[in-house]
Amino acid sequence: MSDPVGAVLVVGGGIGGIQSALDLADAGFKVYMVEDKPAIGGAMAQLDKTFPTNDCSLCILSPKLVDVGRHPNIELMTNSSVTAIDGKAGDFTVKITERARRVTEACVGCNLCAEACVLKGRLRNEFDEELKERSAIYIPYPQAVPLRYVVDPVNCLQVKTGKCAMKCVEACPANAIDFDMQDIERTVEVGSIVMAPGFEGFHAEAKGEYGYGRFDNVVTSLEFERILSASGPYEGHVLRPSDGKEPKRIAWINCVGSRDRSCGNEYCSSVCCTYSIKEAIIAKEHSGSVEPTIFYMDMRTHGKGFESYLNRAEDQHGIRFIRSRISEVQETPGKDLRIRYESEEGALREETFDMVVLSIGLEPGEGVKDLAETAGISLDDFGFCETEETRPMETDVPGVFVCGAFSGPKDIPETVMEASGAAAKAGAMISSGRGTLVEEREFVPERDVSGEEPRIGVYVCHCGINIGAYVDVPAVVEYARGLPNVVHAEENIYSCSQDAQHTLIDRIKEHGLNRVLVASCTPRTHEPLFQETLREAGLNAHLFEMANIRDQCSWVHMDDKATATEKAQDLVRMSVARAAHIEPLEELSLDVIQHGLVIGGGLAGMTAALALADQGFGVSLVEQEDALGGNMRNIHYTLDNDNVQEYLGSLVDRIGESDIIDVHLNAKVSEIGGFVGNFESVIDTPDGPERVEHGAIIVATGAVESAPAEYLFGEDERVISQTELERRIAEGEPVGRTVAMIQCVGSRDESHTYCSRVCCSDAIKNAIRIKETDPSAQVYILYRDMRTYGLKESHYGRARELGVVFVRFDLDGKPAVDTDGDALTVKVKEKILGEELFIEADIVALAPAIEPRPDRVDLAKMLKVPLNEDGFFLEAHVKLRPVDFATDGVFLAGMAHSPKTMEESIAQAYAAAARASTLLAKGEVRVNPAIADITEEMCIGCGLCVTNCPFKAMELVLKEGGRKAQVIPASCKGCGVCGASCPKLAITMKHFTNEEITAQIEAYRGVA
Amino acid sequence: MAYEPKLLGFLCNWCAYAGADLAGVSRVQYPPNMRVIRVMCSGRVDPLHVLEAFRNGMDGVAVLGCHPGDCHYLTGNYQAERKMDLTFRVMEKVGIDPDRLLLDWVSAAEGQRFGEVITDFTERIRELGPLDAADAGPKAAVGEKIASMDRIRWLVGKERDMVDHGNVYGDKLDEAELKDILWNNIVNEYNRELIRSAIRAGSPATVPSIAEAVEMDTATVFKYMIDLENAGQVHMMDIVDDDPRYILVGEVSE
Repeated sequence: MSDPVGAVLVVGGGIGGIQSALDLADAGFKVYMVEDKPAIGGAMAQLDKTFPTNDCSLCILSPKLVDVGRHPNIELMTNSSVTAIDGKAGDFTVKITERARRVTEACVGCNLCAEACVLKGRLRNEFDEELKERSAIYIPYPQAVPLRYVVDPVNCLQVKTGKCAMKCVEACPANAIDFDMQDIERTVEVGSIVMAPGFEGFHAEAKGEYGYGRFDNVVTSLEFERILSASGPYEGHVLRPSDGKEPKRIAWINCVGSRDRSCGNEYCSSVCCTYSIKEAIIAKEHSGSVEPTIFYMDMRTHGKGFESYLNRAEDQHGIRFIRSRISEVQETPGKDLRIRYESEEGALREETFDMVVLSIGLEPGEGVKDLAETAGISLDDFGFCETEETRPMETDVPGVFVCGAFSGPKDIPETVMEASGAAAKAGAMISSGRGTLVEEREFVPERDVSGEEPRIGVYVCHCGINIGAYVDVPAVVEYARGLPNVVHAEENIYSCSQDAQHTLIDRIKEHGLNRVLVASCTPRTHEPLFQETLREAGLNAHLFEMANIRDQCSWVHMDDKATATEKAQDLVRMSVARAAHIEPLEELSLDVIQHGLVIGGGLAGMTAALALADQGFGVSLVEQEDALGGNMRNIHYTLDNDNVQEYLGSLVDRIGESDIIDVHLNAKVSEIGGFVGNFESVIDTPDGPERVEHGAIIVATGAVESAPAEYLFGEDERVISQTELERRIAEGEPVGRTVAMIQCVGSRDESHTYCSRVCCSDAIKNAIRIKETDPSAQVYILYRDMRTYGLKESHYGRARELGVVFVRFDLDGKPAVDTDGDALTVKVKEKILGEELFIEADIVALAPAIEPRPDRVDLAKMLKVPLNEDGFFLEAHVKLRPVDFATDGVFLAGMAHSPKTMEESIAQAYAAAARASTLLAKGEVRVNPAIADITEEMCIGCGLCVTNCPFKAMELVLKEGGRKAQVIPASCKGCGVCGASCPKLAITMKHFTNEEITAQIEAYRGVA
Repeated sequence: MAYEPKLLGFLCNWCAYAGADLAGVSRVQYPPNMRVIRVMCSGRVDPLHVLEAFRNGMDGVAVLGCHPGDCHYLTGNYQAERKMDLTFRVMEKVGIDPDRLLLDWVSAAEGQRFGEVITDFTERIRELGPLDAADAGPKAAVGEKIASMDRIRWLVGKERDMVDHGNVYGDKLDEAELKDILWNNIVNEYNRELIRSAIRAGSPATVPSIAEAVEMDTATVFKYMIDLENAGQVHMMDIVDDDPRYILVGEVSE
């Protein structure tokens, strides 16, 4: 085979496509991103907040949009669709139609055309779910990438009739509107393809009984997101459409278009339970008098941190949850809504609300059928892309990969994991083409600012209403103008938007700025974005300062605008004072050791090791036990009946056959030193300690099954775990005629507050096996909420069809397991009949909680990475960096992150490998330049800094004038311990100098 | 208008600052009295920075880092603990209530707790009332002199090492013993500074005049004068009526 084409086609510009594209482009591949809509961002851009942290969705997404927009290796084609795919893996030819936008790249995004349009205000904006108006020339949303207007060809009078005054053309200052623009056919060559077309919201009209489309105050959850959004139709005020009044009683109806055979969507949409909780919490936050009620069937908060989110919603926010089935929604003469429902006990009830939100499910969407046909990939019965449990990112066409909701409903972090995972797969397929088609990032020469007086530009961000509603932003700008060294100050609606970056570059040049201060959110997430912009403007990236007036000001002082404004002004004053002292820093780059260390040889670890090796990187794989496999050794079959042990065998074989994977069994990592790109670790092996040098670390240490402390476990041998039951089934041992399964044993209670995620599906899996083997066997599943999320729901349906009996209980009405003579009995209150149910069981199978490994604490300390409240490893960002740690060069996969299924572990392992590959592939890493700085004349060579440095980054060197301390730049991490201890005050920290700190303190005291 | 404490916080980037951000994301509401200086590690905070803040009119200073054992830089927060221990002692000696300084740990996951810590600290300072700048400023300045003495900085910097690994002779030192040594040094430096200011106020000065000004007995003052002279900080100018008269060296009299 000839060399594969070093380029990848990414179809879809939502969060999945974005993550795949960025990972691939960073790993040295050319990326063509094709998006159907005029701007990227997808559904995530429409969301107001994200669960379970209530992060502002667009705030965390926007930096990624900007990254895509300016990445030299990503070619973005919006308003475009794929029309043909030919060829095969390694060499595809793709035809793309770029529909005429009628606005050229000269567009400056000033909005004058939209203002001038004769149809202004007469069309509905799809991005706002048609709740807001737009013109026939428009951008979908203010932070859109690309920030280039588009003509709506269906409605534009000029396009439709050729008869329009074309006021837009007249108004455009950039001469960017071109009605002669034609559709463009393009052909690109790529080696592999990632499909990320996302989902569509269920069309709620199809469920006529809920009144959507008939009753004004019945809205979909996506519409409600727009209502909550500061840039939405009501500017973030929760109002109801019929009369613009603030609704008090708001009801959410869950499972609209999900778990519903009547509309063909038998599956669970997986995200609606948690997003309805989120919407209820946020609505209550917007207006304290809102009384949210959520109608649901099973509460499926199975994700990491979701269960405590649910508990907080109930306990702290007073959200009411009603387990029920809805029969219909009626409208009252006052446009209120009467919901008729059946309670869990079977009682028919009615309740009136001011507004109803339908929690609509996720559907594959119409457009993907054509796409699937074009690519020749198979879809399942629901229209989702077909994948296998052991190959979650693979379609049935080699070289074509999939991520996100296209292969089944999933949330943002799952999508991001799969996106990175698909990038790993797509990259591995064409790894020999790496670097052949990419361009080096254009180098803008750095302006020498030494000797210049500080000229500070100040940007104060409204962040929509996140800051603007609680801090008087214009007043802060005005205030900033009067501060020393400030030569320019302005406000932005979103300082992080792409157009704001362009403006910033212009202003830097226009005003000769040599320091930039952005007063907005937190430097922890947004500093890199602005630093990149400074680089593009030819300024050293470190001539940048941020004042955190959102996370640490507007969001925490929401009831007192005057005081919050005063605090914001203080923070800006302090930052301006610091900015006057900051200096350019020279960045040093170091070679990366192109070898990975994978800790843990279970499914995630093995998969990650193979994925790295597939990309051509050497791997040391460390496993504590005497064999690879981890928990997978106790799993025999999947819900889809795949043979797990066979798959395990194939993984072990592939690892054994690899020349570049070095497996250490009975081994443990005992020491980890160094830093990103240049780690040096010690592995304790049976043959003694072994030293390994590596550039990246993947933590895949897994989790363990807890030992149940109830239900006679360990006392009666007929009470066993699901794992043991599965073994008996797989090995053909008899399991008896009556099996009672008890769920949530140690999960979702005081011992482990979280949901262990996999147990419901495991119980169903084993129950189906028992019933299929012996239809006359009695199987009971005693559960609290059945959490067969996503496509697993159809197996739940299958179990019911087979006659498995489901009995629900509450935490305060747990089943009782007893022995009565020889008999093993289970007693539980049956809700519908309201009577006690007695089961005489041959076997009671418990679903024990999955808990973090006890030894993870030592590893966490060694790696200097945090654990969450539940004791699992805590990733850098729960939504957008699900496999990264905050510590550079360290990644996370599998159950060390949280309980998950095999399929999810595999996806995450590929994701971790992809993230590690972007680092290893680069071959070099930039070292933090904010390091210790020694004034040699003051140093007396006492060596205290050498003693105290946690990273051995200080040494004593004999120089003229005696022994002097010297920094080892690559090792110094810039903590500043040496500076704060130096007896002679001879050490300061670059970028955190004593002068800078003093300037901030003095600025806080008062205006000098 | 009701008294509003003026507070400054030094927050480490990895835990406390992240916790403060999480408080924002979670919309935890807390009093708006604190302004934050972000540092990479709580171990970066020099006792001088804290004292400088008091000299500049702040009523309270909080130093917040990672929980023990969780430091992103391994041991930075232990170093912070030693340095703040020195700061507490110096504050006590110079007469600034050590309760005005808070050293605490907040993890990146503790948004709620961050709000609680700040709320409690704000209330604590509100009860203590404003720090009188005219009085506290000079006291803090004396504190800064003490905390910048190389001997004291060396002791504090070396403390952990000497307790854990021993001194150059291999003797592990008892922590309490070390604390005594440190305290003696603080007292010494403080007294020396008192004496220096007495000379500054009325130079040249004699031992009895200094003793009266600093409320110490003449023998003690005399011992200090010998020390100071040996250190080249004072100079015996002349002798009048049997009493040697001293002036400060290397410092412009104010």
